[in-house]
Amino acid sequence: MTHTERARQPWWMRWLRLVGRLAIYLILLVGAVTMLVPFLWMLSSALKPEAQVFVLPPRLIPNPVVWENLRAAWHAIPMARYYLNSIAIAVAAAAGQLLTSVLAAYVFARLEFPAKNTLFLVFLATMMIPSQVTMIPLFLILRNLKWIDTFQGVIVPAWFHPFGIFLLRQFFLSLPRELEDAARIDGCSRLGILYRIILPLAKPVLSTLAVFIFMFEWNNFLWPLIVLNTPAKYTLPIGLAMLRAEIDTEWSILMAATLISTLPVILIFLVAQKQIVKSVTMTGLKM
Amino acid sequence: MKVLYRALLVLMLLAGLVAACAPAATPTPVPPTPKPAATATPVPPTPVPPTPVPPTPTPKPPVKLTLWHAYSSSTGKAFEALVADFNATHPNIIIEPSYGGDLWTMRDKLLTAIAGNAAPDVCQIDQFWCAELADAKSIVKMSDLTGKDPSFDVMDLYDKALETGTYKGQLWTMPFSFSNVVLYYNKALFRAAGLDPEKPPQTWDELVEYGKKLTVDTNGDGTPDQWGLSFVLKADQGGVYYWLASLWQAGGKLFNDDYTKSLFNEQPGVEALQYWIDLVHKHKIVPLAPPDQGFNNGLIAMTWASTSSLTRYIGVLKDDLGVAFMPKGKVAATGVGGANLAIMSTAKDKEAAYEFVQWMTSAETNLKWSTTTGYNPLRPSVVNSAAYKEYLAKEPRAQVIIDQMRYAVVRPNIVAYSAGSREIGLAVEEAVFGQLDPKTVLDAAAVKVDAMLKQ
Repeated sequence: MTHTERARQPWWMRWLRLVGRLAIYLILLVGAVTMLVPFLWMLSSALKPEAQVFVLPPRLIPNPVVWENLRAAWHAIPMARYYLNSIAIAVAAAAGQLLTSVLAAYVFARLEFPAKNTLFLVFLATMMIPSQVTMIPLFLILRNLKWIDTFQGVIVPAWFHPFGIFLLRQFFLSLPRELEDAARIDGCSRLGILYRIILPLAKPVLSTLAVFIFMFEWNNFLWPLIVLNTPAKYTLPIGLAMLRAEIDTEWSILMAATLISTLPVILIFLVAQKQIVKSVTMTGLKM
Repeated sequence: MKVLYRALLVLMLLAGLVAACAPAATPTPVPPTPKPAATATPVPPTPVPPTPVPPTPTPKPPVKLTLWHAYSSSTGKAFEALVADFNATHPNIIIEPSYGGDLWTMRDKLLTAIAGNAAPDVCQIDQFWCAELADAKSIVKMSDLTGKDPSFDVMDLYDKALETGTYKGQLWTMPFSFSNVVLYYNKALFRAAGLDPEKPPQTWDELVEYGKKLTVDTNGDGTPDQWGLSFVLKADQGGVYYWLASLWQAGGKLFNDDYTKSLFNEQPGVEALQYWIDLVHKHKIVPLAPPDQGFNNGLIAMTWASTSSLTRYIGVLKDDLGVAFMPKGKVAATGVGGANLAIMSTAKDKEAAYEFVQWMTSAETNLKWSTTTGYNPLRPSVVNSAAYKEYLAKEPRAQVIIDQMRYAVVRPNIVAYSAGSREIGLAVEEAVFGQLDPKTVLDAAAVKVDAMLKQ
């Protein structure tokens, strides 16, 4: 619709459009505020004196601002250590899972072999198995590999997950085959096609997947807790749990520690945001 | 932006490779390999006559034992301080404590580790896990070790403390943290409601009467802004433990004496459950979803909680904290709770593990543990010690937790208890949240529990 066409619309239609738009923004605003309030509460509590955390009515702006909380939180648990551990685990898990997912998804999307669809269904079906069921068998495997209380015990199992395969396969299927055929005529190998043609096109969905995996591993609590025993190898979520207690949780310190531990996720999301939005619009993935 | 993004991707991949390839554990120093001698002539190995090594008393390397516990925050610090004390005074043994999540999470961790033969050497366990672990032979029978220890004085442990670690007449786990449920109340809120802060409610009826006065809707929106009473209602937070106190106060019993049949669904159980439903729905003095930290912040006037919380509540409410017996129904009763220390059957050195357990529960250590946390002393000799008397003089509220132990009941140490109490907890939760008929709900739970008892 061009500008002149819009101008020819009767006034009430333009009004209606405006009202409709306003309503949409209002709904979005409510959603945004609902999402933001916990973050704001965390931010504000992290910088408040402990005594003010639960005062009623709640005060959003801390006064005085207690920067000291951040330092105290950093020292309340071996935060630097846990930070490094968490980053190493989440990054390695994301990188490994991306690699396996790309290869498997490409195979399922493009190669022909007997029982391909059945195999794919079996893969998908494993998503329905609750992780608690596979916990002990997996633990036994890790023990035989002597991987209990090691980082690879946390990282390597995270490399194999059907979700990434499913997501990428759907995306690869949507790419025109002609692109690959053209590359093949020019003498490109399978892996070359994957690397030079498919992956550049799949950047948005790859970064979405990377952020998903990173966030999942970053927040993962139970599996690292079960595999790791040495406190120096613990990850941030376990460290945060140490700060919690039924009664005397120091909320300002806990929130300061949570704030510090949320930063990388926010950072990564900001960097990858554009790609993620693109991937959502391209694949029709609903979030 | 694009460059930044690409740089990030590369960085992630690189870091991933490094983290995955490197032995992620603490870097073990690689011994410097001796360089091959420059000369290529092989040196014939000259036979060295075995020189007899004089038997010098070489110090044995200390035994390292792992210990899992579920104490977080300030209690966690107090616990690890005790362990540090032990390590400092015992050069032959190094105990390495690690936090295993809260008790419920640590249970998953422990059971997985047992299945994978990767359990710690010593573990803090909830009292009622004793029977299951003993039955599965996952833990060492403590009485085998105490039997060899001439200094072990069974008379200097309270019967109820011993009972928490006893399975089929034998001591399997050593009592360590010993507690019961008391009524904590906020004296400032009592005064504001015109109640005498030195006269806490003593019966079920008084509790309701007080609770009504202490439930206040300040802004008039129909939901109270200050609640009279709160306690754990939800099954997955251990609600059944509190309900058992009410069951016993009503004169009820969980099972018959040979643990073959449920009795909790009889009249006293029905009354106890009706009491809970009424507290929430009829008298409206107990919130279904209590405000977080509500008792600390003066949003809840009274609460049922473990004596282990004493020091921490004192830290928050100071002189306004009141401590009282649980209000009695037909009889006075409360539940024994706490945690014991277990030596796992896969422990590397059971004698060393026992030395640690023995030290942790000794009169000296127990005195320190109970006065820093509020847990009940395990031993009469602790209660009678001059140091504890001094503590009581400074903190007379701790007398309540000792006196109430007389009415405290220990949960039965039977294999079916874990799963059975879970059923009961779920039934109680269902009835309270759904306002269901207590008898019907408890009867249904009893059928399931009876089947477990028969197994």
